[in-house]
Amino acid sequence: MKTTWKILRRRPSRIVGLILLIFFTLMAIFGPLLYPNMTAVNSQQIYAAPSIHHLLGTDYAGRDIWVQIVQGAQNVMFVAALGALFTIVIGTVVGLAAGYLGSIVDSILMRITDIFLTVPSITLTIILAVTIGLTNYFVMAAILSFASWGGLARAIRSMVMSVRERSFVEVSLGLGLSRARILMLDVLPNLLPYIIVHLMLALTSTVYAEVGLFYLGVVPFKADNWGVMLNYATGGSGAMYSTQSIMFLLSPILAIVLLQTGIVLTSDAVNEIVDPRLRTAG
Amino acid sequence: MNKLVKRLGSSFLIIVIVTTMTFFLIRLMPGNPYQVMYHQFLMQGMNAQQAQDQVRSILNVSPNQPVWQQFIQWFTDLLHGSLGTSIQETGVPVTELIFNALPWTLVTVSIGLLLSFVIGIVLGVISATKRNSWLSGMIDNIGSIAHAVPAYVTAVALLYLFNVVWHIFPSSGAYGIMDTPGLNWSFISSFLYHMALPVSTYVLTGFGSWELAMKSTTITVINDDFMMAARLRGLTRQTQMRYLGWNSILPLFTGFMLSLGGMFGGSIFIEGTYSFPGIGALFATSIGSRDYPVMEGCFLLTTTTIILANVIADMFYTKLDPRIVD
Amino acid sequence: MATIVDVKDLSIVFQTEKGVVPAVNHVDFCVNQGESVGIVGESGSGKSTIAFGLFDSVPSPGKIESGEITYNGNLSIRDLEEEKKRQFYWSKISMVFQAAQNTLNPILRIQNQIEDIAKAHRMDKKKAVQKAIELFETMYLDAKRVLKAYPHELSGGMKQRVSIALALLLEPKLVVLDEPTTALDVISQAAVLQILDRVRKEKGISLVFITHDISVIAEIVDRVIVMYAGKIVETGPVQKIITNPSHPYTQGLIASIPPLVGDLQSTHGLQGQPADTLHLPQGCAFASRCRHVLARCHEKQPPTIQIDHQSEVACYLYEEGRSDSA
Repeated sequence: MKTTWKILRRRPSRIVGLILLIFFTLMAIFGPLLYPNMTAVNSQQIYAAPSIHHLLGTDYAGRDIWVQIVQGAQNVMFVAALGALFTIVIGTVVGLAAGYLGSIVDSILMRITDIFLTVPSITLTIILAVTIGLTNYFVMAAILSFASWGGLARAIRSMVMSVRERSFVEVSLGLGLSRARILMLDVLPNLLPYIIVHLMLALTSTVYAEVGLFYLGVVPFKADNWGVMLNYATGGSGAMYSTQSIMFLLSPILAIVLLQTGIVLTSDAVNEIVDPRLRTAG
Repeated sequence: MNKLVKRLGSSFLIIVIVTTMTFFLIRLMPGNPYQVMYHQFLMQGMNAQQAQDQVRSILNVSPNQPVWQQFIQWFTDLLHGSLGTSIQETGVPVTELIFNALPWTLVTVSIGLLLSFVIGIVLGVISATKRNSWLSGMIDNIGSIAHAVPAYVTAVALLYLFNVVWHIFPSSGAYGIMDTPGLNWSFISSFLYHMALPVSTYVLTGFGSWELAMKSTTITVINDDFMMAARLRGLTRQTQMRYLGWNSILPLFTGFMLSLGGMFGGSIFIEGTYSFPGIGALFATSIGSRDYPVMEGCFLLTTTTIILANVIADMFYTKLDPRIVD
Repeated sequence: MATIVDVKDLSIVFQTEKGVVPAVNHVDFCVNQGESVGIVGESGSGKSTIAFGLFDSVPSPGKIESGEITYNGNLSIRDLEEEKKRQFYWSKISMVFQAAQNTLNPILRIQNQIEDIAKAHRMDKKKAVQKAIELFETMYLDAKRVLKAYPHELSGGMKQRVSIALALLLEPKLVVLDEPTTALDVISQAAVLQILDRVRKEKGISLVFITHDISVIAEIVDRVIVMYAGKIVETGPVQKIITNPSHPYTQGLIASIPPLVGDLQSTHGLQGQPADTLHLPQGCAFASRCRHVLARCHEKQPPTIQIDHQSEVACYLYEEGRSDSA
């Protein structure tokens, strides 16, 4: 705990990142409680400037932008977290299985991994999303992680292979511990730092793809999402070309940039917390 | 040589598997255009047979044909060098659409990749040599944030700033309407002008990962024994930097070729935002209009490009790094 | 005899997270022209750090805290500006590194690395290569093959010999050898040491051997410096040190050498762990392991005592008129 604080304090940017991440997480959790209803269309209030009543102003239909951002946060954050989790789980399981079981399992799993690594992942994700449809959070997360676990699986596999060579695993085998037990007790903890770092990376790329799907407008807008706002702001509403409507364009952009910044800056600290080799004096 | 043949063989196999799978995925998309047209004809009062024949004569596919039969037809056509015809632009061969779009993407993606690579390398070395300084921390943070901010967000922001607010760069197209593509200065300058924003977007979203990768390899190499030996051998500063540079860049070369795939993915968002007539925009519109053959063609092309780039990268790398023997 | 290098009051510290480690602690010694000196000690005794200290180039986080290192009686290396120092390196003082296998640039042929050294020191490239060929041949290396090889194509022993040849390339006045024979088998070990001995006698250069195993260098050094926990505990002619060591630590060190004949059991080496340099005691660092320890050993550092005109020891046992008994 003390080291964590020390590492955070070493670079103020890390504290900023953590605050941003906590801010958006709270927004995602409590947003729906705060604003349970869709904000009403109000033709009297089109593109209103920010005020006490409308923190970020209103959109082309007079709806409150701040409320939309808060409501969109839940979709963005929940799907991102779930998608990143799926990516990590699939990648870790495949990597562990391939690296530890070896032989035929290894070659089959790695051939499959190779295919996923070579396929243009965004393209495949878009096709999947359109075909299957983004019906609920779990389906969205599954689709987003489907094409993105290959890199982790490969890395985990090679790490397992090198950990397997180390003496303590041999000793455990000699003591008659089962393979599964060794995998869980000896091998996995050694890989944990890498997996945690990868989780942060996966978060940013899931946010990227998820919001992007909505921005492109190729999937039905069933959910509130910053991507939907960005799509309207740059497309049909014409908000892009008027200074009066700047808040409608700027809000989703800022939300995405700040969320990604938060994740990146936090992962900078996480990196150092889980990997003591990065710690240096001074 | 034998190895290369084997490699190309397995690459071919992967391409076949992947495109087959996506073929079925794409044909299962809701809003089947063949069905849509078929039902339109039915609504116009045709009977089932007439409507079916009509669709067949226009799109060359029977609306009620099972997907596997469509696949066999598509695959046979593919073996004859045809990717079918577009649904949206009825009758236009998909190959023609693709080859019209490809050059724009290739040129912008290549320039973007090269620039982001060079910028990333330079910043990475600076960050590695000034390790633990505020400058290094700042470069790393900017690099990773620029990388994490989605390409479409960067694209929209640049478009807003440089087109809407400052009127510096155009908002769409690859060249001015008065120009004809060719080796004339007017076209080239117009092309450069139009690609400024797309290329900048590739660079802004791309340099960060190179910076971080270069930083980490450079730090490893700096601490290698041979660098310490090079210093004590009194080698000139230039020679030392050459040792450091080459040993740090080499591991990045494979990634350089592989990142082409990611760049193509980015082009869907970037070209979409700038209405730039490349492969990415073609793919994005083909999804919107459910133009099955165009989608399949684009996917086949990008997959093939990436896999070939992979093979070339490996061949290249064996030449560059003496430690790899094939 | 002229003095090649004179080290006065040298202290080197390592700044670590856990605290400041005094790796070399107020050390004085000198090396004369044509002389061969062995610096002996356990790992952590600071002997390798001294090697880098001689270059005024201690790798971070190490740092020279105080001391003077003077070459040829008038050239203080710590006052030399960067460019002068670079030229001084390798042409006047060179080094065979510990882990010499990793001190060659992995992606450059040996010949190019030789040429880089030549270029850095304004030597004709052809002459340098010619000279290297001669050196390689004296080390029983296939010179033609080695020149064309990349480091990974050579065995560990070959790389070690290449590294030694490179150290002799510019015929420096002083060659520091840090565990120079670790990667070699016993036969090549003897051969390489013989070559070094011959070169020394022919060219009149000075050698400083740094090793944990005194038996390896016993035959080719004139004088031995024994280090313990960053301090010199004893110096003297090699014969005297081996047959009649004064310091209890040296006695233990010599006793732990396995005899060529006789039982292994009869060796009685050192007891206990090497000194914890992070928490050095107020008195003699060896006191806790010493068999002849006195009360004041724990209180105050023992002074350096002249035993005869060539030998010195830092131990209370040899103090004039010592009163209390062991």
